Amino acid sequence: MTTPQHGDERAILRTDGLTKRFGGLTAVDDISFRLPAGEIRCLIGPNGAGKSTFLKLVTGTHRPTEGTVHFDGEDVTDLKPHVRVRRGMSLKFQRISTYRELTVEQNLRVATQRIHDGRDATRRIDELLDLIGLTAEREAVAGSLAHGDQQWLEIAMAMATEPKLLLLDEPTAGMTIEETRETGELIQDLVREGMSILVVEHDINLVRQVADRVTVLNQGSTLMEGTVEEVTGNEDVKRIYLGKQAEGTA
Amino acid sequence: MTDAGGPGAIARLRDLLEGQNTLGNSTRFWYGFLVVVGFIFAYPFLTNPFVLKVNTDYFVWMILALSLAVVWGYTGIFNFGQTAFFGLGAYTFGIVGITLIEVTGGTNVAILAAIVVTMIVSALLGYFMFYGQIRGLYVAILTLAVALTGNLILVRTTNTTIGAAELGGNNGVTGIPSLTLGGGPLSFPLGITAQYYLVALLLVATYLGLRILLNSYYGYVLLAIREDEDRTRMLGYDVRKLKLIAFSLTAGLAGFAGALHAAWGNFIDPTVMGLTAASVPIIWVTVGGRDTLIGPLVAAYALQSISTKLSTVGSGYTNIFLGAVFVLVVLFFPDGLIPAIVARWRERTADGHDIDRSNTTEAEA
Repeated sequence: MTTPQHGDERAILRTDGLTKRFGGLTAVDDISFRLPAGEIRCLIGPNGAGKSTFLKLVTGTHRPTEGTVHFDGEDVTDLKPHVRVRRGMSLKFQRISTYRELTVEQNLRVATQRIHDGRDATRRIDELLDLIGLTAEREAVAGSLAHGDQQWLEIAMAMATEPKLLLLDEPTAGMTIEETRETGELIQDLVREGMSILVVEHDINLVRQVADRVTVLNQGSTLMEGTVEEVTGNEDVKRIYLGKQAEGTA
Repeated sequence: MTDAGGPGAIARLRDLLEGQNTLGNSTRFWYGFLVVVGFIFAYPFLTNPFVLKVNTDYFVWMILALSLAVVWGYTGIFNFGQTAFFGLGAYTFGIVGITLIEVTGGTNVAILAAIVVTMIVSALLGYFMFYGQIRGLYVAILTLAVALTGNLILVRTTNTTIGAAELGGNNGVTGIPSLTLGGGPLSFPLGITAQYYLVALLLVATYLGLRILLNSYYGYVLLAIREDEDRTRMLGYDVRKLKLIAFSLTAGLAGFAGALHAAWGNFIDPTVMGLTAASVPIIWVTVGGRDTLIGPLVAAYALQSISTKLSTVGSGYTNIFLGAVFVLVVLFFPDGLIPAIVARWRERTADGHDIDRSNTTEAEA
């Protein structure tokens, strides 16, 4: 285990030598990552770079082959996912995973009731509905909502647990340009309220809009880390993205 | 509803009982409910002991139907072997009851034993299933296998005795004591009418208790688990533990119903764990509407009374009837009859504000 470096005390999330192998495939290879509290970090990289696996190691869905995860100063490597959530970590899944057959209100109640009970929960649900603009859809079945609204409902559910760290896995997938911009504003509001946010995102416009810093993963390792300008100006980053396109995977 | 005082007690009670997870939240519903309950309690004055006796057993089946609705309809755990726990409760009650009736004079301990044994056995089974990541239809297969295995073991118990009880193989356990009230030397056995009242009271209490549960914190969690386990885990809930608790509590309720059934007929045999017996509660719950409580109640009562009438016509008709009803309902009303009726009724009366749940989900599927 590496000794903590100076300044790590205020990192909300820290991984050291995090590695995950599936048989012969090393999906995540020795990633040592720091996310200072109060920062919006975007995690980018081509398909198969290890972004999703990295998130799953952070949330505890996967157990690492090697390495550790520290959250808010505590070693959470051996904690189960639901315990990590209770410590203040929250995830918005990549796929839409609202409770499709339940109403919008039922969805939010499941998300809020662990923290607020009774009338407090109702008040919190009202706030969240207002925030995502779904007050009129309160009694609608979640599966009947438009795609973008379901994404927002999902984000609201992740927020409802009042996390210190919000993990967003492609929050704007399938959204219009306007919806993406509004989502970006929502993310910036959350950080102002004191959250730290890690976003896996493909949409470079959203990255430019919200990211304090960007971490680029490639083939399971950290390729580089820097500001949006540094990253987009980097030759290696251009090469892995252009190389991907040159192979004609689209 | 918001301020204390005045008609506070009723409002607070309704607050507990009502919510979007159960059907029947209007004042009109509660008036109807009171009329039905009133009728049930007046029924002994209107009919003969034979009819009362038959109805008492229907009420027991209705408790079993409720237990299956909660574990399957609400929590999404397809327990195809709920009758295994019903049977286990019945056998436990029989064995403990026969052994202890001479000693204690009552059946309280036997009832308690039936509940405790089914909860322990179901918790063990549930632990291996849920902590072994067994999900979906595999749960149905495994629980059905448990019921059928129980049946196979029980038919081979000729000349086997546990305590003072002779298990009797295919012939079953006879001489099981009727329910008693009171305790110790002050216990007295209940007559037909008293037993009817007691079981009716237990049924009403179970229904109301489950409504409170389903509209509480845990009700929302159970629905969430049914809808998406991974999502629910990532909202901070210990899904495996909660599934285990739901599975074990509803099995305990089924075991309790089994004990009442054994006391009602003074008899239990292995057919209670057979394939037919395992299917029948699934049919009630499907036909009535599995994510409601009122649907399985109505369906269990209606289908059992029709089955009883058909069985006097000739053997085999009952199964053909139940099979046909099941297939028709699954084809035309996949969410069950009661939700379909409610949806139709809302369509007619609503001002377009009410959300038609069943149709919306179907259109999306």
